[in-house]
Amino acid sequence: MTSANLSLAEKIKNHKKYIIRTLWTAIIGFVLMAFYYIVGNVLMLSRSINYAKMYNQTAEVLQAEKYKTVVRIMGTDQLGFAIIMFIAIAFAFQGFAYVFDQKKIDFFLSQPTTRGQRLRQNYYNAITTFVFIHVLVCALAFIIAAAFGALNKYVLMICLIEMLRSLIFFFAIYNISVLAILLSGTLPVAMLLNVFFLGVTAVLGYEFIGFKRIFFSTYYYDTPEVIYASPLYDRLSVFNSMNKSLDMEGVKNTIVEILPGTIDTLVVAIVILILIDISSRYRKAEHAGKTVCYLPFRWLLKVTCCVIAGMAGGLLFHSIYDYVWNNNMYMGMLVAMLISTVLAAFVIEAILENNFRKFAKGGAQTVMALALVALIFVIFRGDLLGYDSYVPDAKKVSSCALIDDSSTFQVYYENGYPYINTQGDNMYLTNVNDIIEISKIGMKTLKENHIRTANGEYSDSGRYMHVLYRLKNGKKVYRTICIPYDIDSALISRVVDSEEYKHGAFNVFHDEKVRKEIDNLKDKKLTYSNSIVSKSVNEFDYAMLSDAYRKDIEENYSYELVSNSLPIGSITFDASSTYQRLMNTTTTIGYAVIDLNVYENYTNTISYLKKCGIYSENTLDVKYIDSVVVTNLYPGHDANTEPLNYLYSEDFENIEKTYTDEASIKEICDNAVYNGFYDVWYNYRDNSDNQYMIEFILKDPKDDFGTKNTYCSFRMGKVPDFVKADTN
Amino acid sequence: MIELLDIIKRFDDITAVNHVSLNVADSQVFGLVGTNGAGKSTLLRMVVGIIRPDSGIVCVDNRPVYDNPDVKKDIFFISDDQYFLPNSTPGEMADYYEEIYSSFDKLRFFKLCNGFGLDTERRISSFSKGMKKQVSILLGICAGTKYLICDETFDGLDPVVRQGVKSILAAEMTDRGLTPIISSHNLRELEDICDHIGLLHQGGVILSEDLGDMKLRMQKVQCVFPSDDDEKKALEGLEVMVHDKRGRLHTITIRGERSEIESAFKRGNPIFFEILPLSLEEIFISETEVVGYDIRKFILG
Repeated sequence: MTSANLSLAEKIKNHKKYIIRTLWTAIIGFVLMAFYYIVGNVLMLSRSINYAKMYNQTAEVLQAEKYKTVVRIMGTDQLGFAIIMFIAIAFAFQGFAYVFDQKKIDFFLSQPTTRGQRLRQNYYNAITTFVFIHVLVCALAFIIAAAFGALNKYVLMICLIEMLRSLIFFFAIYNISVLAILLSGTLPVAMLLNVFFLGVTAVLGYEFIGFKRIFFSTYYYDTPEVIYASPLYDRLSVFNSMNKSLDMEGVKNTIVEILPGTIDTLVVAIVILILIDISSRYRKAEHAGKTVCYLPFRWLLKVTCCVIAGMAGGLLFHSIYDYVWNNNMYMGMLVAMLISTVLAAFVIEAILENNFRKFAKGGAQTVMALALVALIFVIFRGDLLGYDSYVPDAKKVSSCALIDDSSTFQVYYENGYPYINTQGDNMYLTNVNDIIEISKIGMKTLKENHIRTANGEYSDSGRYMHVLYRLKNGKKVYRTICIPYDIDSALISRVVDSEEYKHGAFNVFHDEKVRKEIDNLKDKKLTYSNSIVSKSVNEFDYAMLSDAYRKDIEENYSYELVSNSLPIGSITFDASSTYQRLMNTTTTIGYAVIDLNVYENYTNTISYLKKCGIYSENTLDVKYIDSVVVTNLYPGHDANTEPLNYLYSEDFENIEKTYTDEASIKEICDNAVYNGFYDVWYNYRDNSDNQYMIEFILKDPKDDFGTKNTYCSFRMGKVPDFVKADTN
Repeated sequence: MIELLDIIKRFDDITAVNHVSLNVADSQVFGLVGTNGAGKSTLLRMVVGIIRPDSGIVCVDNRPVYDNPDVKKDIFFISDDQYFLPNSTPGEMADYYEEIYSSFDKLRFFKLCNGFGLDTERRISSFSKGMKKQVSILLGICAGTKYLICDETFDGLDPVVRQGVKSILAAEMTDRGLTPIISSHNLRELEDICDHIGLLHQGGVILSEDLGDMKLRMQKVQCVFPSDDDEKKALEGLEVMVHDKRGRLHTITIRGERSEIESAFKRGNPIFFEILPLSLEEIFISETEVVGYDIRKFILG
């Protein structure tokens, strides 16, 4: 009987044998996947049940835990992607590694097939095999999850979305590995090339971010950077499904979150597939045994690796000298970059030539890499792309935000992620021209500061903030600025006094979730503290407090107020979270921490605090004070007029003087200001004295913590003469 | 018919095959012989469509072979270093080829394996080198292709198996017009079975002739001349390929017909004259010596 007469069953049987012989890693992959998805589900679900029994969790909590367990194993938080990556790489190498071996090339390419057919057949075998084992394993895992009662439609949807994402991820990693194989002629080089392809974009991306941090004064450390063309980064960058609710909103949020990365992965996969098609057309049987098949690619590979190594050398140099960095170090950084480039060129050449003695070959590529590395350094050092002076065209900006990191309004949720939005989410300033004007001044000040700092000069010249431009094309641009203390107050008032700013800067305007959940919170506590006294209450109405505070912000908050006066006190609200209550556990898992500064003219808030019985007048009252210790930090000098760098570079012996007489204490109290309640807009340079530190020793502690002392400064120019005389 | 038209193949700066043109007629056993590095394997890989020539074209039955599955269906290639699927048995390899070659005869394969004493259920990796070759040959024969390309396949087979394979090949040629192309260093083996010989040296074809014609067109003479003048007279006008002299006894390989050489030698009145049968090995040595591949260089340096 010849094969022309083969039945379908026989053909399937033969195909199965072929897959087992040629893709035997599928068996390992199947075992690993089965262990992770099926056994993992069984183990984790039974653990959840045991945990619930041990800690007397409610049925409601146990159910939620079970759902989360399945999502953890099979959703966006899963670690199964590592197994999928292994399978993709293994399949690629098993399917295409024949190109490294003349014996196998003879075997496969002498058969009646075209290169294209063979390529397609390998793809078909790999993808169908992967889909088969993945779907089979996940289906079994779903059955087990359902048997444990740990599957609902939202969990299923999230897991199915993740399965699709896994398929795209598999496809991309498989393609990357196939390209690595087709561009190289030996197995070790193909493996190295695979690692290179998997990491090159992410490594370069992080290196450029590192360079931005080093060279650009206005770089915002919290800029949400996105790295493109890296499936591995795309996969790892979304890893927090546990933070989402398991409902339709959670499913939608999951989709929104994974979509950009998944599209990026898919685009990478398609582009690489095209490259595979091109390279497979030019791939010759005789390329077997060569390290890299194509000369232009060899150039590209070596130059790219050298540039990466050069930049890494620069970053390493900077990290070593970070704390002693000055302008002279930049030249050292360049030298480190160039040396790293040359060393990398030697190593890469030795690998590509498979002969250590030929390390010095390929001088032209090395020179090209050196030129590129030097060019990158020059571009960043000289800011040739104008990063530090960039302000967008006002017409292209839809809104802006001024972000400072000083406010505390965190409502932690479950795993410790805050769910209250930030100023970057809430603030929509439409007076773009004013913001751009402030930004220009702020960027200039920051750059000057940066230069001074690099030269070892220190000065306090303004408020460090971040500006966010929301461009009309959807892009977000962040910059750090330093708004000088002496900025035109009319300009800054137009922004700070605006309703848009107030509503964006203060989270009390966005506390709907707290208001809604307040009843579920236990151990809630409202505390009001001034410089000395601190009082708390457990029974209060958060909504009333919030309304009063909102009103004060709208009516009484102004730049004029906050730049010249410090808060008289602060409200602290803290509580255990909903989750903690549901868990019925004593472990502190989540809590809310909200600090609200109170100014003298916040009449509505003060009125409510009085109603709660926790308000205390803000006076440094002599009756509370036992003694005062005044420390002159720079005896014989005037820290308010002399350059700080000079003062910082010298060691001074502080002079302390303790006052116990009522008259001295009173005069000190009258001229002291408590600066424990920080506000970003306050002009610390011009309003507070920097030379003296005042420590008030209390007769009795006035707070729950038993604190017996409090620290203040003198108002600028208000240091009593007897203090000067006693401490200089 | 397989035609190679002005084929050139370079590997970096080495020209492995240089302007080769050859024809392989159907139902003949074509023997490809050549020095080491002559380009035999490269040429065969081009014939089966593994390697693409840099220039020229390889046609099988008037169709270009490279990347052409329709043509490749008619060709089975047994390389000098055979590959089998990992951990496979002869039976599984038959299953595999059954999918690829529509005329693959699995029953016959099992029968032949049985005849050659090969266990079809045993892993090929545990076979000896010669047994692996037997499996390859039997798979090739049972594939039912028109052309069977063997790259040094017969080297390493024991005489009994070799004879058995030769018999099967002969039967296949008779029954279904199989055309084997066999490259080998073992010239005595080729001599037995080949109808046509192609001789390669340094990437070029030195000769391509029917073996019978080749033997007719080249003679090996042993003779003794009365004097040097007689020797000159006798050899005048003849294309002497190899001339060896021991004492007064001359051994001369001459290109030409037997009658032509006999009449030429009559001019020299040799004291002793005899035409000896010429083996393929001697033809090979003579022809390659003409183009500078002299065995004595290896010995004398």
